[in-house]
Amino acid sequence: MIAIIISIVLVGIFVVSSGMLFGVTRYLRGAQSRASVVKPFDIVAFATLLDREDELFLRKQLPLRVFTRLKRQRVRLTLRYVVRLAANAAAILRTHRIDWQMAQVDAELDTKATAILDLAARIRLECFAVSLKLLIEFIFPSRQFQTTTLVPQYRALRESMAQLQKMAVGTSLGLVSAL
Amino acid sequence: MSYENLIHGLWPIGLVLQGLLATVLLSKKAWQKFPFFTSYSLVSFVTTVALFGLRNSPKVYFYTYWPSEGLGILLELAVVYEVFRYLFSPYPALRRIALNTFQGVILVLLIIALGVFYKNTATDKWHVLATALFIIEESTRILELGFLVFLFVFSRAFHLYWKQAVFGMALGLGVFVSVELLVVSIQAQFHTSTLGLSSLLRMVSFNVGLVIWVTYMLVPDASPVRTGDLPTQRELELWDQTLRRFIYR
Repeated sequence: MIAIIISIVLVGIFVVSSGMLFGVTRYLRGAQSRASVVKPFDIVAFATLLDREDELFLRKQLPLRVFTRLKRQRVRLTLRYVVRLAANAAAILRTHRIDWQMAQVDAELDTKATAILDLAARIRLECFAVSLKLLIEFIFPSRQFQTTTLVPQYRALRESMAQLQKMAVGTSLGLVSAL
Repeated sequence: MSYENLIHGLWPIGLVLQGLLATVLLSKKAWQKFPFFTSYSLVSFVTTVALFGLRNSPKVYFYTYWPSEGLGILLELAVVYEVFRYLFSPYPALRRIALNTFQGVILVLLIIALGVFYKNTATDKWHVLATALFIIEESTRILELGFLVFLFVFSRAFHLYWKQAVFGMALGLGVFVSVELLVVSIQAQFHTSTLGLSSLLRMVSFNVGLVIWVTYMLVPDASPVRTGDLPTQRELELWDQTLRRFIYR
C-alpha cells in the first residue's frame, strides 16, 4: 500500500508541476507576462539595508526590545527588495534567452548571452538563500548573516548586459535602465 | 466489449502513431539534436511491430516483452538525461548546481525505490517471477518520474526556457510513465487480477504520449521577439555611477 501511496503522490506532483509549466491557468499566464517586465530596483537602498555596521551601531545604542522591533522591520523590507531582485533576475532569464537564441550564429554574442543567463540564474539562486537567511534573522533577530555577495553579482550582471546590448543588433536598453 | 478486443483495436493505432513519429523524426533529422529520443522511438517502433507479430505465441511473447521493456526503460532514462542536458545548456553554473541537487535527488529516489523493492515479497514460485518483474519496473518508474518532476520543479523555480520539442519529450514521457507507475504499483500489489485493464491503460497512455510527441515535434518554436522601452543614455550612466560608488566605497 505504501508503494501505491508513493506512486500516487509522485504522479500528483508531476501533474501539478507540468500544469504550472504548461501555464494552463489564466492567473499563471497573467503572472508570467507581468513577470517578464524588469521593474526598477534601487540598488543603493538595498546595499544600505544590507549594511551590517549600521545594524551593529543600532544594537549598541538601543534597548533590546526596540532593536528587535527595528531589526524585524528592516528584515521585512530587505525581503521585499530580495523578492524584486529575484523577479528581475527571472525577467532577465526570460528576455535574454531571446539573445541566446539569436546569438547562435555569433560566438561572441553567444558567450555574452550565456554569461548573462548564467549570472541571472546565480542571482536568483542567491536570492533564495538570502531569503532563507533573512527569515532566520526574523525569527532570531540577534543573528546576522553576510548577504553582500548579491550586490557585486548584480553589478556584474548589469555590466554584462550593457556590453551585450552594445554587441547585439537592434538593441533594447530598457532592461539595463530598470536595473 | 472485452479488454482483449479493445487492446487488439488500439494496437494498430499505436503502431500507426509510432510509425508517424519515426517518420517525423527521420524527416527532421532529429537524431542530430536528440539521438537518445530518436533511438528510443525507433527501438520502440521495432519492438511493438515484433510483439504485434508474436501476439499469438504467449511464451515467445513473454520472453520478447520483458527484455524489450527493460531496454525501453533504459532508453527512457537516457531521454530524461537528454532533456536535462538540453535544458541547462545555456546555464553552465546552474548546470553544476542542478547536477549536485540531481545527485541528492537520485539518492533519495534510489532509497525509495529500494524500499519499495524490499517491501514487496511473494511466496508462490510463479508469482515471484511475475511480481519481481513488476516490482523492478515499479522501482525504475519511480526513478524516472522523480527525475522528470525534479526537472519541472527546478526549471519552474528558475524560469528556465523550454524549447517546444524538449518540453514535448518530457511531457509525453511523463504522462506515459505516470500511468505506467500507477498500473505496475497496483499490479505488484494485486498480482495478475487486473492484467486486462492495466494493459489497456498502459496502451492508451503510450498512445497519448505518442500524440504529444508528434504534436510537439511538428510545432515550431515561437520566433524571438524583443520587448521593452528604450531608456536614455543619461539614465544608464546614472545607474552605472551609483553602482560604482557602492563598490569602491
